[in-house]
Amino acid sequence: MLPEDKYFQDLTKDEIWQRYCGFLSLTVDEFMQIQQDLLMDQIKRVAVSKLGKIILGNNIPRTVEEFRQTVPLTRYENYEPYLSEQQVDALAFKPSIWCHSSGKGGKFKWFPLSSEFVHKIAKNAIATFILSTARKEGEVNISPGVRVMLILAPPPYGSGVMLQATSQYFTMVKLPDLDKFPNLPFSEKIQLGFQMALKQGVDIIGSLPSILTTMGQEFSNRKRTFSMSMLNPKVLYRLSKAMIRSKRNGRQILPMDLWPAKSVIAGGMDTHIYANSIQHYWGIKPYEFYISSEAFYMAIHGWNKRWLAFLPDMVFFEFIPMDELRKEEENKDYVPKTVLLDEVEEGELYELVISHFYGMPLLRYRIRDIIKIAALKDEDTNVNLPQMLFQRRVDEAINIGGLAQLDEKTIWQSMANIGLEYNEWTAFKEFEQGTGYLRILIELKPTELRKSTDLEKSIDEQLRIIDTDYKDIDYYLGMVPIRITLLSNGTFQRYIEEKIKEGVNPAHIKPVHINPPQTTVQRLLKLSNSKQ
Amino acid sequence: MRDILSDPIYLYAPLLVTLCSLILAAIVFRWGQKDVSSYLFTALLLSLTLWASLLYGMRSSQDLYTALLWERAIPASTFLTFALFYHFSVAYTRITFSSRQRITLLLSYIFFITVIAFSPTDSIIESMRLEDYGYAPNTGLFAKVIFLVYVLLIFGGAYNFIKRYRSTTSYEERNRLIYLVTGTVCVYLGIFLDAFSNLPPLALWTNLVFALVCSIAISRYHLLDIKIVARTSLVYLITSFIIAIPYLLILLLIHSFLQDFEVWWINILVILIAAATLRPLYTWAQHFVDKLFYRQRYDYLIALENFVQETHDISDLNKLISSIITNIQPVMQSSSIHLLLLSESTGDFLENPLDLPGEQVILLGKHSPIVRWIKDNKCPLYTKQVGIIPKLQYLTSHEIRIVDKEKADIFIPILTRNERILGILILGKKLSGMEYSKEEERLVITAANRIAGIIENAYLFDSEKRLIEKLKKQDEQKTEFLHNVSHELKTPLTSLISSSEILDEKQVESEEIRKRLVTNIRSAAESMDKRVSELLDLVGIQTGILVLKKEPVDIKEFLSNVASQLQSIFRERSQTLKLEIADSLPKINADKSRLEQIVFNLLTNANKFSPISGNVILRVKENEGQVIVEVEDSAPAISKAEIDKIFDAYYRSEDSKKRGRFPGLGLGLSITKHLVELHQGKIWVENKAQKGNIFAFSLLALDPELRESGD
Repeated sequence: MLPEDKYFQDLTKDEIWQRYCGFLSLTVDEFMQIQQDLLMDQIKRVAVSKLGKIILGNNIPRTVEEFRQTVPLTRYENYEPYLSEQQVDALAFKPSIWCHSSGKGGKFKWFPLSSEFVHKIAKNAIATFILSTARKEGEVNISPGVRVMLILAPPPYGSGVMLQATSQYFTMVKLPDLDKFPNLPFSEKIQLGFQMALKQGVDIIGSLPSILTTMGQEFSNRKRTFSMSMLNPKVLYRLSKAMIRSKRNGRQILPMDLWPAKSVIAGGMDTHIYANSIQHYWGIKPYEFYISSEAFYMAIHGWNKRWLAFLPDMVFFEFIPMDELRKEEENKDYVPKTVLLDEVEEGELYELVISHFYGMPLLRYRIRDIIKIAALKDEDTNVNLPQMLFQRRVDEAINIGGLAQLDEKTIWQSMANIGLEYNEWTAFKEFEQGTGYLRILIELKPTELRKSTDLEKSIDEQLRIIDTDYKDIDYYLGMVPIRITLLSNGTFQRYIEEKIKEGVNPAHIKPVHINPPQTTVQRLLKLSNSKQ
Repeated sequence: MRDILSDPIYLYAPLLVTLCSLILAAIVFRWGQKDVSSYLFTALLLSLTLWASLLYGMRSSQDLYTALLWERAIPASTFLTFALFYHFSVAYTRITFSSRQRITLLLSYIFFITVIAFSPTDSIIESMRLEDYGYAPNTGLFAKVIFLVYVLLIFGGAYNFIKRYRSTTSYEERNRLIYLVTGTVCVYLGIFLDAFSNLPPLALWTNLVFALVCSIAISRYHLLDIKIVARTSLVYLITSFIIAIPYLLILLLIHSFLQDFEVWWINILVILIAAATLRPLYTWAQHFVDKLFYRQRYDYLIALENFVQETHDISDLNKLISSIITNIQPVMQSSSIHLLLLSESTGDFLENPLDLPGEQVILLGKHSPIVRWIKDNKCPLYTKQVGIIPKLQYLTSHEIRIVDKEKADIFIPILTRNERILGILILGKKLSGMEYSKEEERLVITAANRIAGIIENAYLFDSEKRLIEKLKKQDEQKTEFLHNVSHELKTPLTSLISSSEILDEKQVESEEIRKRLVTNIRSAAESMDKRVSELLDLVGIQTGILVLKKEPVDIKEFLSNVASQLQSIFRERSQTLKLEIADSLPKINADKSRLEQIVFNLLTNANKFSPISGNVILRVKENEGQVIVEVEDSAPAISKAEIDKIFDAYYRSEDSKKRGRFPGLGLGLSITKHLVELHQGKIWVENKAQKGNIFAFSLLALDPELRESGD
């Protein structure tokens, strides 16, 4: 029996809820006390390590205030030589697992995880399982042996490590068990997972929102054929149930009919963009969490799936207000001040700064994410902790006329709001006679017939609704600062194929949505024209 | 036969069950846990209500045909009750249903529909007959099948409870499950007696007992320990049969024997004597039965008694700890036991707070979540709760080590009568691996209360011991002080008298000698003036006469002046007085003359004790709203033992005393300390690793606005 299974055996449902989801009943003061205790413990632990001494300096902080005053804000460069080369001697603990982020420019960021932290990952993963399947407070609908189909990158990618860590502490039926099929290509693993889920049923489905939507679309468009693998009583039972359900609702069979899950978990900033389509295909509103390779779970949805609440035991949180970031932008030597969770303000944007607990190395580390404090509490669920939403990466915003910061999420939302059917897009700032404007290169689906001028107008209208700073931009600039270039069908696919041939890491072959390199823009335009 | 049918017990018993079931349903719905199992149990009670109502309909029927119509409705409601019972047992014992349980449930509900379908036919109830106790059904073939399914469903429910009982280590949970199984056994008894005996219908009553016992089990937060209930009943029964009855018989025998005497008072007297004589025997027998049936509790009581006796005169905390380990640990079958006591100085809980000889194994800081929780709740904390209560889940590595390494299972607060926590008793896990029972918990709490009294006594004893030592020391110091005073005053007096005598009696021709004599008289008088001023200052401080005349002081300017005044004494000893004063300093609110006295005292001490050509630094800085003044000397480092006493009145260092180099009453630093404290400041001394000491004091800075305005 795995360690966390024991709790499910011994505790009542109410106690199980308390153990995993009880953090939602903490007050801000209690939350801060926990953060403070764990941070002071962390300082004691890292102060003796080589890396800790480098970051902390000679004076070991005795209070949280001293820590914030004396320890500098750090970036990966401060740790790189020790972490990239996996120098265990420089750390305050013996790593249980090493994981890496997807990285940029083909360079991974490596992070060591302590066994205590791995346990916390598992505990919080169980919390997400419980909360995602609960319809109200105190409801526990999962138990050891829960059937999960999580379509994630394999370890040592952070998401893969998350699943690996959880399975060390909690019994899960993985569909499929990646350890048993290490060499199977990704697409075949997904296919195998769905086949297994058809036989065994599935409780929790999780992946990136775009993947979930794409799978739903592909499933709907695919022609149904009969195969021998369907000659299984359980499969036949599920097929017939799905057929009855779809007929009763007067529509074609959707994934939710064949794989009715208790929850669909999606992680990524585009979750709310795809929320409706995920619900359409999978029958459930997606449950969201905020994760990173550096800190794993940082905030998760409550049971009402509205906003995300911070977890007290993963990392220490500090927040850089936008004013401070602007001061830093103006003067590179300026050291921005931070606020703590009990000082954040509703509706404000902040850059997140984290410090590890449990002896792990990162201290006052800027993960370069901008989050929004959606509310100081969720009155709907009576959770009295500040609620957050992921906004964007720090450097992933396009500044228009110094008035509006258009990020990926905003642009994405504007396209979703007008029901635009597209294959892929990318956006960047371009200058014409000294005036900056937003250029979007977009590859529409063949069924989408709107012209670029119509789209410019529609997107402009939507941006006015979504972004208050953008609302009166034409008044100040005397023009609509949006330009759209339609790329020919298949441009992005050809670009990806080219990159694969060049041997680029699969994680980085797709052009980024915001501010792609100029070479990528040129290549896309060339590929689009060559087809024409 | 009509008489039987109109018997109120026969007739109204179902109505009573209906009413009770309804009330229980309302209680469970309102006060039971808000989860599926409680809702299912409420549904079960409502189904029982329906069944009892139908039974009332049947019993109140005027003829066999009407009774048959009512009776035919009963199997369906009974079946629903048992199906719901099985459903409840699954929901209560599992988080999610297994596929086997799902299938069983599905089949049972399908079967329920079948029973409803067959109810109007003869296959279940063929007809009715009259028995001695009232109406009885003649059952059909399908009724046998239904009966078998009843039995299987109840068996399945009991099996789920027993399986859960075996898997859980929670004492509370196990107790609850014993209640549920007891209730289930009652149902079994009822249906078997009804099916295979000709006794009047009993299922009605056994079902009521079942409903009552199970409702208590799932609604009440604290259940009576069923083992204790059973044991107590048994003991009363056995004591009555084995001891009380023979005892009474003997008395009766004596009574009958004495009847021949016909003298009533002799009769009564003999009986009283016999009763008194046999009383020890009765008590012995009672003890024997107690020991037999309450062995565990008996051991606890003996342990507690021994512990109380042993600790009666304990005033040494080490002895107390060893007594706990000797007496409590074996009875509790604990793997380990630790007593952490409150350290008055730090507020932490330590295993050895008085620095008694021994290793400091365990410490719980005053900010530990465990300590905070115990202080807030003032009741025992189980390690199991640490993994559940949100605030306790985030322990630091140190606390986790305590819980893991010591296999701590329960933290018991040592509470005084006014609920002050003096310590925490930590019991390790039971050697058997089971949880501590409520009985054991009560024993430890009783012991903890006893420990609280002992600790209070020990602390009192310790503080009295320290007070006596302090008084002794003060007495010694005062004697020494008187000696010093006489010496310190006598020396200048001698010089003063002899110099004035020479001046008075002899003709002093030399101007130089005359000047020296006058200088001697002046310096003797000054020395006496200084000693007397010191004594007056001390008296002023101790009696509260000394009042400060505070005013805003520019510390930078002030200290520069004081330093320049004292430059001469440093030059005399070829020493360097270096000033390190921060550029921007806030003003402070102080009595200038007393502040001067403080700084003078520290600088003259530094001058006195630093070697010739040594360095002295006067440093001033600001930190978190405080102005800190430091005097760093180059004298030999003061030992830790001396640091603790250096600010005491009349204290003089051994070095000063031995060498007689530094005359004085030992009041300078004590007065300095008092003066700093009168300014709401703090004074301390730190020794440097190699050579030198830093005497520092801090004073509150004035508000920033005052700093700006200079007011």
